[in-house]
Amino acid sequence: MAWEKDEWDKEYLAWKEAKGRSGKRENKEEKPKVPEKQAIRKEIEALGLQSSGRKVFREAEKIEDEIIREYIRPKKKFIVVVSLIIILGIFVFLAVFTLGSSDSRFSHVDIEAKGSNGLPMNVYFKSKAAFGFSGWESMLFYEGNDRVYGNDEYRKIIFDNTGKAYTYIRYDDQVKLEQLTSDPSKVTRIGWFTQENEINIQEQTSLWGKIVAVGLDSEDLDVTINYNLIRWKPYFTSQVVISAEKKEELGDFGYGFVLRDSDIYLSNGSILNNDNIVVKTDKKIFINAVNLSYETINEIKGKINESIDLESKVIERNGTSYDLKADYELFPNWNENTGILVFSEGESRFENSFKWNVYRIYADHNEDNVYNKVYFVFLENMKIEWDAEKGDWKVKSRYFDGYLTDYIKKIKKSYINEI
Amino acid sequence: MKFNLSYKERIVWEHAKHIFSYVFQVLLFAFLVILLIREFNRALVDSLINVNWFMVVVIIFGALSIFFPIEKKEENKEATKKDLLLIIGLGILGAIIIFLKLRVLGWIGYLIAGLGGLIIVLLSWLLLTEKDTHSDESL
Repeated sequence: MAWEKDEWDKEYLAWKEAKGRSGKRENKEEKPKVPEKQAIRKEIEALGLQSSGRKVFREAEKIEDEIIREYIRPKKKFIVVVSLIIILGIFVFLAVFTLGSSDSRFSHVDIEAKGSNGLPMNVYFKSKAAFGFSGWESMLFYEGNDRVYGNDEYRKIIFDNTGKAYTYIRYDDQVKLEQLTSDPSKVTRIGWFTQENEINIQEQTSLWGKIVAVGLDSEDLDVTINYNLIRWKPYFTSQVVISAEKKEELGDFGYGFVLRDSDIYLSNGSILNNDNIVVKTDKKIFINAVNLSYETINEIKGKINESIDLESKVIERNGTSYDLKADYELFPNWNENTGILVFSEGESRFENSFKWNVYRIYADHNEDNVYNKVYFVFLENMKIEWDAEKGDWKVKSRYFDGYLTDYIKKIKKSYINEI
Repeated sequence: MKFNLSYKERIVWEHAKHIFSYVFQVLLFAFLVILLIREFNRALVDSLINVNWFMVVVIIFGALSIFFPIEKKEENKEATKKDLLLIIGLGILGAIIIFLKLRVLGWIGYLIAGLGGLIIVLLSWLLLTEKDTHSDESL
């Protein structure tokens, strides 16, 4: 704001000169006496400025402020110490309360569980997608073996021109069509859990680790899958706790995970080569009608075609499946020189299906229905060779050099200490 | 902003303003360094800190230090050799960072990095040597 000269200007300049508004003190060592606000005001009033306009008072207040500020000497040490404490507090707050939100990934391993159909749970290593657990591919034995998360299948009904009802169901290479003979509203359930509202996912992140708890709750069964991740460690564990009405009927829990195009190195030195082949054939989907006339099929075909494309080509999948017991299995990815080591407490049963690129490790449970822990370890910059004398795989990786059996022991010991 | 404060309150307030300014400067510097590191190792930074929330905190302290500034007397200092060396150093550092991000582009990456470094040096030198032509005529 520019200063406008008026009749008080002369007097004001005289006052300014007298006070020395530059604020320079002759002797800095000497601590000056702090002027009180009132005293300054009195001085201004004494100069006869009290009767002038608002502008003059505003300027006078500015001067007053500057004079007071001159006497306030900020304590540098105090400012630095308090600021550093605040900055430290901010960093602790950011590390503790804001991690795990937005797109930031827990390191080195992170799990993102989604409460959607099929219960997919993606696993990341150093922010890169590594593989995925699946509720659809996981199995639980309880009065019989079934998928952990499946769906409800209602029969699809179709009518011919005379009003007769038929049902049909789609398979990979065919549509099975038959006359309706049973209650169409009867549900065929696949899996122990089928509804999204039965899923409850909770995450807890701290400075030291992260816990992802996937809860599945129904009338008969309560299943909790706990994933424990430790900060800066290249591995995580998974443990299942199940509460069931008929405890004695509970059997093994199979963690199903999907991993593309990986061979498997077994603890006995064998290598299972991935022979997965997916071919799009020239064959069309055909209608497999049971005890139905050609005329009836032709009549219904058009109606089926409204929901299923009968012109689409059949996709054929091939690949070997293995069911075996082993101390561990290693899934290498030679494109990135990484590997995933999978083992549990004790010898484990593995189911490997190269046809679907789906693998399972089964865990047994104790009397309290707490299942054995299963470990998933990531090997980075991995080189591996079989040592026939020792009867073990010798691995060289970023976090470990040595035999896999020794690494497994080390991880189990380290995990107990971390927890 | 104007408050009616006693002398003691005024002392506290002046210190608080200094703290806002100091915290803001340190946080802004840390934020920029973190952003730079994140460009090269996103996984490492994201596993340690949430940069979005960090930015919010920096903005809050930035706003505080703008609304409640420390009033300093401007001093016209002459640029020294030390300043010149620092500017050249920062220019080279800037050029290296630009080059690392743009080297996949080939020769144009080298050109942009060189020009970027040059711009950093020239602008910094202009800012440092520019003399304030606006004299305080208010009083």
